[in-house]
Amino acid sequence: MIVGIDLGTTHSLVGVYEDGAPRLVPNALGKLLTPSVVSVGEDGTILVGDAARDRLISHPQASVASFKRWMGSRRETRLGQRAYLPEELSALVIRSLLDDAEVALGRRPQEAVISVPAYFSDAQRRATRRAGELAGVRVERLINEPTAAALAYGLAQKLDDAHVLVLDLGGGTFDVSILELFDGVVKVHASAGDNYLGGDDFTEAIEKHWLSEHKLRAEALKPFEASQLRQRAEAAKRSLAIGQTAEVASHVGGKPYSLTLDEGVFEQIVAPLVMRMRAPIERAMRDAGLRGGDLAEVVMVGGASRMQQLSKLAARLLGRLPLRHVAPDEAIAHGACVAAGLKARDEALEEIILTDVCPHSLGVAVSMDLGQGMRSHGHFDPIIERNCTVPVSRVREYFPVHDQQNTITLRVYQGENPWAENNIALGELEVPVPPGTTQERGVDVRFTYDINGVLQVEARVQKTGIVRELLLMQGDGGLSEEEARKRLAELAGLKTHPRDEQPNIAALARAERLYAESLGDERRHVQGLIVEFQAALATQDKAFVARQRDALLQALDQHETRSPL
Amino acid sequence: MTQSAWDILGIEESADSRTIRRAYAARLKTSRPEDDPAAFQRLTDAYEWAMGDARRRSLESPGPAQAPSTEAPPVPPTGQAEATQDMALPELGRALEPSGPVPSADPEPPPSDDDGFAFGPFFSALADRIRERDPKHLRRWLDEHPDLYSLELKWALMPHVFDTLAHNASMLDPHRGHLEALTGFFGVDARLRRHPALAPALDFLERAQWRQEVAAPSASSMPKGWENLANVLDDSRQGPPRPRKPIQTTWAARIADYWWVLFLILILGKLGRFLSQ
Repeated sequence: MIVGIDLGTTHSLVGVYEDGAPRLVPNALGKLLTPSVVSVGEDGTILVGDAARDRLISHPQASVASFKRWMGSRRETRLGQRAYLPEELSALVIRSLLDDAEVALGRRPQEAVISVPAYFSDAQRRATRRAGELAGVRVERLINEPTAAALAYGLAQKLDDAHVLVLDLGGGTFDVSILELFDGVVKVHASAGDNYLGGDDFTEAIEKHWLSEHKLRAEALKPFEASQLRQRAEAAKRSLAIGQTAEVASHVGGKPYSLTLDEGVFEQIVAPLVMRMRAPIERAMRDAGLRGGDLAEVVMVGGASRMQQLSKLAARLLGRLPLRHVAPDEAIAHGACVAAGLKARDEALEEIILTDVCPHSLGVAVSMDLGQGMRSHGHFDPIIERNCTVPVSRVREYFPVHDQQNTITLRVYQGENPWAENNIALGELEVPVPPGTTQERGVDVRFTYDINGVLQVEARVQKTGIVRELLLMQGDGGLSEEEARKRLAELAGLKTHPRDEQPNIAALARAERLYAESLGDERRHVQGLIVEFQAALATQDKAFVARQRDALLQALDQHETRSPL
Repeated sequence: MTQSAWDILGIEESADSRTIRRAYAARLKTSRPEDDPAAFQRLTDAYEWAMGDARRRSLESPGPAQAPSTEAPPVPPTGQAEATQDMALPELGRALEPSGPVPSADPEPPPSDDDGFAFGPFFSALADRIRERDPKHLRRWLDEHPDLYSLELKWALMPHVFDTLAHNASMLDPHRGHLEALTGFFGVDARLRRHPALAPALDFLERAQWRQEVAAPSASSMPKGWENLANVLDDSRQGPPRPRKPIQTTWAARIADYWWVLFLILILGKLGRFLSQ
């Protein structure tokens, strides 16, 4: 059996393809979305999901989120006794998803299709595959998230010879991709995005506006107050997103403050964020050489795409209304399930070959002749231009500036700015040039970029045939086979709580978060609830514990909605 | 030894884009990137070249539905766009002469409009802002301009804005900050900067400013190592990017340049007070 997994930055989902339709599977708490957060308990047990997310506040040292951003790097996070690589943290999330799938489907899945962002480099893709293997599942294929979105909408089957624009606005990232669909091939034509722009920024914008309207400072808020404001702003965002008026009422220093926001105000508040979404869309369209009219469909996915502002922006830029999925935060997972279904039946998708593009321009720094004996230095001259399909190899010819010059220094940069120094320096290469006049001493510089994200720079002096080489690795986060085996064994040894205990653990984690956020009497009240529930747990009477848990959750709900004091 | 793109794809030279896509799709199944990177690149290069060629052909002989002029009514200027092989840009207005950066005395007639957007009034509003307002205001005005949300209009407009600006440069004397606001708004990056429809006007607008900069004594300390690499003088390539150096023109920087004036005023004031005592 093959499962489809959406391994997201903020949330992850799992499902299967059954009876001609994707079916997502709920976690131990009955939810489809499992927060991509990992936490380690005092006794070394691993917590994943809602409980771990609550522990980000109560136990920040032992919890970690957003590790998808580090995939492909060797950045380690220390949690308790052990340091974890990004793929290991992802493996723990996948393992928890597999547990959920096992309960829902009756047996443990052996194979999976996992979605990855279109711009993921080969190193990041390999890390994702490794995460699957560390979790004990064979990764049958990685599917690009925009492709998964197209599958969720059934576009790959419906359209032929067509371009589709996919806008994916998640909690913390905004990805724009253009797909070319033809003859069962899905080609990622161009991708662009903003890695630090998502729905959370819109919530923050509401908070900031609320604070400034009441002349309050964010630093003056106690953790409990900040958390309450965050929840109210989040709720208000949901109403505002669908064009309703919302009231944000919260307490600061025991005093109630309230502010009513309507659509017009909201639009003003988030205008700078909407403006930031404009550039990636324009860039992707321009790189693909398309106009709004050339697109067969515009589709939106990601939880934050519920916001009207995104569809309005798309309509203004492209002159057409985008399609919206009923459940935008489940769309990618649905697509991954469809891919898993196709894979299981050995059909159609086998024909879909995903081709990758190089996300940045790569080139060297050059000097320009301005005439009248003047030169301007430090210009960036791209050799491989961004969004070239990889692997790719390109050559350009360069000359020394002065007749008496005996070496050329090639400074290799990655980026899009016309000024070399504003781009990322990757390395440099010295090339000896023979004596002679400038014009007879050309050097051919060849850039070769392979699917592994390795850039090879080769400089050949035309006159002497001397060749100098430079290998530049990007995001090298590979593990040796031995190390991978060792880590697999270690990971397998990590304990998690039995599934039927997980709702208790989650309830307790939430209570602990509220304890951490509150002060004084509030805090003592929460402490009382915790002690009471721990006593109930000690009885090991399942029915009694379940009743007590419901009572605890109700008390916590009341506590969270009630004003402090 | 050299196979043509058509040989690699196994199709006729006159094939249309649909046939080219089909051929590419069929051959992709035998040369997958992970199995044979070299064959994959050959195939993809051939595909991209063939698609570019098909596009050029359809531009040369406007077919029933392929010509850009019939495709996009809201685009104000519709001449023939110069399709460049390695740059898949949407047709940028109309191609400028790649070798004519020096503007003639009388500007070209600004493109007229058929569909609600008039270039003339737009440009004069733009000129007013360049004359009277700072770059920050200019950028905000462009960002908020309701008509410029449309990508088609924005791109069609881009070469005309820079071209007309180059023609009127002596009159408007655009500040470097204004140029930066414009290139920033239109998203002119290293790649777009080379486009034949943009390079001449931008070269003209920017070159004068670099000359001043290079000639200025403060800029004589060139960054280390950049002096020993020259760009080709090979004219087969499109004009190389000639961007300009961002220069600080904030008030803080100006004050920093004239700190001694403030210092002098302070000293004189103290001295005056001392003497009057």
